[in-house]
Amino acid sequence: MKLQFKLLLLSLIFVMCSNILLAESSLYTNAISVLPSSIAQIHFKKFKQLDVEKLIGKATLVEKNKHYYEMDGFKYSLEITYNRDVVSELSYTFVRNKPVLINLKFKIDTSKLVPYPNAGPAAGRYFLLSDSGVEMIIDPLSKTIYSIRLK
Amino acid sequence: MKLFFIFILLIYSLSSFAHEDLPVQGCVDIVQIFKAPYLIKLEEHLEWFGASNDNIAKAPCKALKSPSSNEVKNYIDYRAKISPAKWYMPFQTINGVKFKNESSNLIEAFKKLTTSKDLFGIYPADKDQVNFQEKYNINPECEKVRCAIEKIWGEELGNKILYTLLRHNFNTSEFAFANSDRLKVEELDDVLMGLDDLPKALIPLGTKEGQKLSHFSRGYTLKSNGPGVMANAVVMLFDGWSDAPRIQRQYALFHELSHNISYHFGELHSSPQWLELSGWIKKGDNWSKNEKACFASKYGFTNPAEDWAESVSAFRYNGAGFKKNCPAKFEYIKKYAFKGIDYTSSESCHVIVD
Repeated sequence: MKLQFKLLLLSLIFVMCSNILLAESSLYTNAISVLPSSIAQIHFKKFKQLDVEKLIGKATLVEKNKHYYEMDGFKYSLEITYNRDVVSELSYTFVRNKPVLINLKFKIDTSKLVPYPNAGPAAGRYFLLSDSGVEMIIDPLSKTIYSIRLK
Repeated sequence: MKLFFIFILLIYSLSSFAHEDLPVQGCVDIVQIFKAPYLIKLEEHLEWFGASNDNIAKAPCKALKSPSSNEVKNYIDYRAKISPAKWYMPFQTINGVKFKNESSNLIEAFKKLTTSKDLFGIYPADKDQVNFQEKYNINPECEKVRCAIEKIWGEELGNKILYTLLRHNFNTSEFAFANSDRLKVEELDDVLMGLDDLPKALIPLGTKEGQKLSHFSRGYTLKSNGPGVMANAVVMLFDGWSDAPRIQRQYALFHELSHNISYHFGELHSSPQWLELSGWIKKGDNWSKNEKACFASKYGFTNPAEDWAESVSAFRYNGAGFKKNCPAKFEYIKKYAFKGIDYTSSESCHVIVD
């Protein structure tokens, strides 16, 4: 009986922890799923600069550890930050084919959106959804995703 | 032992369910605000905006009053009549209310005004849906949309809410979006005056589904807003907007409409030409600009979207000043957003361009 109780307790802790991890990773998984395929293939926190360049070529602009890519004529659609040669942050702004919220396989919890940036008395062209190192900026007028940051 | 595993499975399934993305309409990230002295701040920092109170009041072709009750009712009747005969519905029930021999245009409008969506108007919010027959006892006395609208909002406000949707495609109903409150007649008048400051070619500006333009829950604002925020581009109007002088309410509303003008023409504020005019470059989440570029106001420094909205507001309410200070931006807006019309004089007041 004592052993069964311990097993039950351990199982409960396992179940709770795994669900917390699942919940935390859901926005990350969703964010990856909407990125263009070439960028989604960049293994975040694993890929080195050489791996990235093999995939998407050399950056248009390099400033210290930040590499910027001009895409679709937009400066700069992609920012990759390296820490000791490994991708530590990635920020992508959609220029064309912005993901339309209502067509996505997942649902944005709009009650968690906050104005972005918090700039002034009439702020709020864009709204931010953030969770565990993922920042998703939403454009509520076009009802699309404007940009994604992974860190 | 079997019971033990069944128990574990039950706990697991329950806890998994708890993490699904359920809509939480009534639980938005809001905070109650204090009545802060932001009105004084607005006066002190008027150069924060692209036009002064005096500019706005004296702007050519400025709407000086909202449409009269007769104008509003005549327009609704006109829209009802232009429904093709076959689109007159013999019987239709919308959100609990039965209508008989009613115009499909008005039925559609009633549906938009009374069907609940989330705060941003993106997803349906079925659990917040009101049964209007139960709440307002509309049938059998009323079988027409205007009668039902008047029972819900009263004669003047109800007709103006219906007019705003039919004429401008903006939905001002507090029932249509979560965390919204009813507009007052005087507030809706300012909304209509702001909308009437648009050139005729840009009416209707709202989207076909009836774009949100509602008052956020009174006494509350979005958590990260701070008490000074008047409105946003969604369009949400906050207490800061309600408490401001009427001329500033109309300006703030037009600023938000300017974001919608950009969207209407395929995101003009993100076009390479617009970005080039101020040297806007985005690095990660940060925008940088050419420090020598011309801006309509300090608020325009924020990012290209606010630069656009402030420039369009200055174009509308301080046309001559904006043309003199920022001729390239003036010409861009005139060409791409206002179809060749400008407001440096009253010559364009009655010009209608398709």
